[in-house]
Amino acid sequence: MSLLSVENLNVTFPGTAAVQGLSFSVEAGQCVAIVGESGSGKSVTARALVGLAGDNAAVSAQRLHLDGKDLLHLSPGQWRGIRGRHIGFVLQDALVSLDPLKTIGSEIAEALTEHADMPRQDVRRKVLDLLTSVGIPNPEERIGQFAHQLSGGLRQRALIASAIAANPALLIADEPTTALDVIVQAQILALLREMKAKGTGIILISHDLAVVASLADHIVVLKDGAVVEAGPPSQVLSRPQAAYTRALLAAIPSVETKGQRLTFGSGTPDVPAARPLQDGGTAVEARSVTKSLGERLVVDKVDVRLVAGETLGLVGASGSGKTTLARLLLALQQPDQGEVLLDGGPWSHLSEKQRRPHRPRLQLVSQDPLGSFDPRYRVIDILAEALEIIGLPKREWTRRATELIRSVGLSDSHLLRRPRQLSGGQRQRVAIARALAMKPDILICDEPVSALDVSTQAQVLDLLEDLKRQFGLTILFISHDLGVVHHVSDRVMVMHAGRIVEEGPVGEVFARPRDAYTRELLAALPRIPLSSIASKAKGYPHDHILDSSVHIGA
Amino acid sequence: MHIARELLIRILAGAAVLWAAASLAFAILQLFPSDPVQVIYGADSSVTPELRAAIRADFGLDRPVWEQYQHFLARIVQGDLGTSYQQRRSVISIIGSELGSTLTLASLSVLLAIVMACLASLVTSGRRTWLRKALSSIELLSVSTPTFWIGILLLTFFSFKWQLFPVVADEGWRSLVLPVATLALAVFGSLSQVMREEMDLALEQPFILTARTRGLSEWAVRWRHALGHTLIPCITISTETFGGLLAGSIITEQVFGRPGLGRITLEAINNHDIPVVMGIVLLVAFVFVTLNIVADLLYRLADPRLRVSAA
Amino acid sequence: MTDLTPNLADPARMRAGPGFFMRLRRVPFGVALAATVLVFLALCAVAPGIVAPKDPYKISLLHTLRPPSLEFPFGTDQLGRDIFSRVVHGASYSLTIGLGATSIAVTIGLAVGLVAGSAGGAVDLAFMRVIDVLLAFPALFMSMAVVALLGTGSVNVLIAIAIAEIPRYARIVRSQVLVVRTSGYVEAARILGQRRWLTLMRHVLPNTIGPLIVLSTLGIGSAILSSAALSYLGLGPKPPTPEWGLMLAEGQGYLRRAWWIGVFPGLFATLTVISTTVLGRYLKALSDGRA
Repeated sequence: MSLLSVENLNVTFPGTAAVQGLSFSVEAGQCVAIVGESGSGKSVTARALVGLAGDNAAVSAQRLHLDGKDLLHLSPGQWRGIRGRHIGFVLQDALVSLDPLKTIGSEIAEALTEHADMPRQDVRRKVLDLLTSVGIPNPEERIGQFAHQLSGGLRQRALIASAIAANPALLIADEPTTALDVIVQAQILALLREMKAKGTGIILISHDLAVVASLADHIVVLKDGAVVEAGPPSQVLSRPQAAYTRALLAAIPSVETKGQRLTFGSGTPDVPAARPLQDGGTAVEARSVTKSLGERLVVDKVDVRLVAGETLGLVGASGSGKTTLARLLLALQQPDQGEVLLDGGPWSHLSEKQRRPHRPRLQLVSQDPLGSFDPRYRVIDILAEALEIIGLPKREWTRRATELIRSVGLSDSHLLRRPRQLSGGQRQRVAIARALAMKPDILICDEPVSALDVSTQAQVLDLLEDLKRQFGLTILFISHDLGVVHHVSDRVMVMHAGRIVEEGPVGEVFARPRDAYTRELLAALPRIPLSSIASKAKGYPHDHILDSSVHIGA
Repeated sequence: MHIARELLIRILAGAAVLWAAASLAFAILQLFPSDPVQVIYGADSSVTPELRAAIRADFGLDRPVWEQYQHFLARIVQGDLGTSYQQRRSVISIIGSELGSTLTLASLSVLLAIVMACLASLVTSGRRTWLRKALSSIELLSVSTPTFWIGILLLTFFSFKWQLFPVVADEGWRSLVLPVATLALAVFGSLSQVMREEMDLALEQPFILTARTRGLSEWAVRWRHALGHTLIPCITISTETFGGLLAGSIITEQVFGRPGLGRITLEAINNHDIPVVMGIVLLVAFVFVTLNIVADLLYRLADPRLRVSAA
Repeated sequence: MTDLTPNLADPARMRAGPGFFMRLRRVPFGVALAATVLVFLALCAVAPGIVAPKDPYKISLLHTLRPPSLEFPFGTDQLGRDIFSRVVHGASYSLTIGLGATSIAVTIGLAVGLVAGSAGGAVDLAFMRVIDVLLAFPALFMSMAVVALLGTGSVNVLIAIAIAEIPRYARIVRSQVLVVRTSGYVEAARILGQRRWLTLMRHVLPNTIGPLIVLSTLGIGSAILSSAALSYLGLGPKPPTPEWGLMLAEGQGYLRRAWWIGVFPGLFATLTVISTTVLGRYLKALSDGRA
């Protein structure tokens, strides 16, 4: 008998069906992964399984059994007996998933005492045991601390400890590693694997096939609330049947996709290079720049040389100083020491007034395009503002704006929308269109695809590649995602704690990392069996090569 | 150690605000001078120039402005707020004798308002029920109704019509009920609105979902996790309005004919009794400064994140 | 495609846009009601004779303390004056003071806040310290103190309330200027190479004034409350002016025998304030994109 069996689960909200006809079962000591992009219904499923889909959700199923017990017709009180006691639940980002006003000790104790009367002394001892079992050092000290006093990794461990406190047979983990750096992510996945080995059944919810690959015994791919493919990893990842799964796998940027298009079905287009690729000269250069914010040294004697015509990748964990470095290059902030040069001439040393005429040459595409648009403006106003600055006569604005919006793959009707009415991917295209309006030579892309779904990310990355060829752009591409950086870059720099720890041609750095931190970063990357990507890239039918594997972006 | 040092800094900053408030008030009074002789004798023309000069000298008004200012500050530091023109008593003793009554009224009202607002948000937050609609209408009424009108209505119906509570002010706790209810109602609206908005936000946070997945009951989720997050705005608003309540009590005391700061303020204003007005101005500023420091300490108690970041 | 001309120079069109009348139809009932009440009150203020033909000052000792009836819809007061007439004529005082004090306070607050917020540095610091000291005093207390200096009367009450509200508006404007100045879109304009004053005019000013206008709608209500309170305390206009707060103060001695004296003036004051509050909140929700 399965630990959990779900047959034909449906969740509907007024007017929309969030989940339709989902069936799967979880055995003790096994992991089922539910994978999908935003809006696929994966989180709704997770919440429905603990009776928390919401007041306005209608949940129905042919069968919903936990350990032989029917979950379909429980009263609120009976559900409370299931939650925590029989099903543990872990959310993403423990900073917001643990009550910031409570110590982690009391959070874990709450999960214990809710289901069993226990003397105070026993509770404390049990909490300490739990902290130890999820790998938190110095539990005596940590038990009295608050979530904000712990690092991201320790926090996530504490959250897991609170979920497994009452020793539930089933654990549901909803994007448990999404907010974490690659290295910490690998540690948390190892912890989940350990629990699986001890006999806990796990449902892993994720948008990321690569994360799932190492843990899942069974993978369910959801799209718009319906199952598009389900099966063991050997099938779903290596011999995907559904076009959507293939597109999803193909959209993941990696070593193998280099020079390829990520959007499914399209080959490398023959976009004519309107301007010849520049090369050789130095476009932007930072010489030993240092910057402190408050007491913290954020950028520490960094040298950057962005060669005209190249794409330079800058990779590092969050808080490593990447964004501050970008702001120094854009001369939005002044370095405490060192200097930034543009085309070999002064840049950071100029006054803002002297810089202004040269600003159009150096444009930014940021992670949060919405924040970069005046909320009162429509798309056409946003573009017109840029066109006015480069001195285009007013009568040309409409024509040029139409040209620009088409060149980023949107249609004329988008010109009259407000950014708030656009999707994340569309907004990023508008931001790129505005940057292009300035006819820049250099584009600084700061985590431009981090907030996007895999398939949208693929479209935006392809677009950037096309535009680079078409306009001969020089690009500095900043990301925490090694796969993305590998895909787009010619050269790569690895940043860690404010310093550049490694720099070189992208293939070389990824194949033979010299720095210890780079090695650790690469080793922590989740892997997908190679065959699926290889077969897609070369157009082979699904086959062989299951033994080798490659690094895939997180 | 950190706390002590920060507290010291806060107290010094508070003293600076007090000094600035006193100086500002002093400067404004130089622009709009008032004459004690006028206050004491009215338009009586029989006051001889000699007597006039003597009285003015008595209040130190004959000396140069700079000297008056120094003298004024020196007296404040010693806790002497001067002498009333009207009553010829020290301002400190006038305020002192009335302060208790007003403080009782203000504190009870704030306490009552906090309790009501906590209950209201615990019961109605995050839900769409008729109770929530009813409560938000009450809140709207509470913030839109003149305080004195609430008082007059309560007085008309509870005292005159149904005779549940006394009209006069000196019948022990029973005569406190209506004034306290009046002021508490006035504070309740803004407090409850903000606290419930905050609890609505808190209830949507992931940590609430986490708490629910542990099997906690709805009540436990609200009581143990959500309520704590309404405390910061609760502290802000209560300490802010407590200062406002001193002004609000002027009105309430007038409606219910209660003794208190309100009455002496109104008398002082109507009689141009400048030393008393000045004393009350300083008292209000002092209360504001003190409450700000108290609020800062309470914030740290309410939210552990502030304990670290402020250090 | 002819409609595509960028209208940077035409902000009015940009805001109204196509869906304006569609949006008007979706206005909630409460908001429509509040607007109606305000229109009615405006009529009372502009042409009280049309709404209430009786003389609000006419004393008639034959008709003292009459309860509400067909002849006297709100009853009569201790001097036999028609309360309905007096309440209707009182609208102009409250609305004038509410609108007048708020516009003065908003204008000065805007100027102070803009200067402090855009200048930064020492200027900002100095401005804000002064504002901090002024904020130490509750608004009602401050306006009482100003009346104590200037003397009583309608004009002085208006000035006093305006002065008491300035620090709040100044603080709001300044913090909004700081938010906008550090916003992504102002930085985006800088990256494009837009001149500073143009950024100030195009982005900082409109995005500061928008929320301020919405907030000042809410401020009108509190100004009306303050003016009623000052009149009630005897610091506003003198009898026999038909001012709502003053009417309540005058009638308070007769509450035992005539409840209507205490009810109707307050009811009108409350209705006015509720209506401006409901309207203000709706505008705020609209500008926050919540409605």
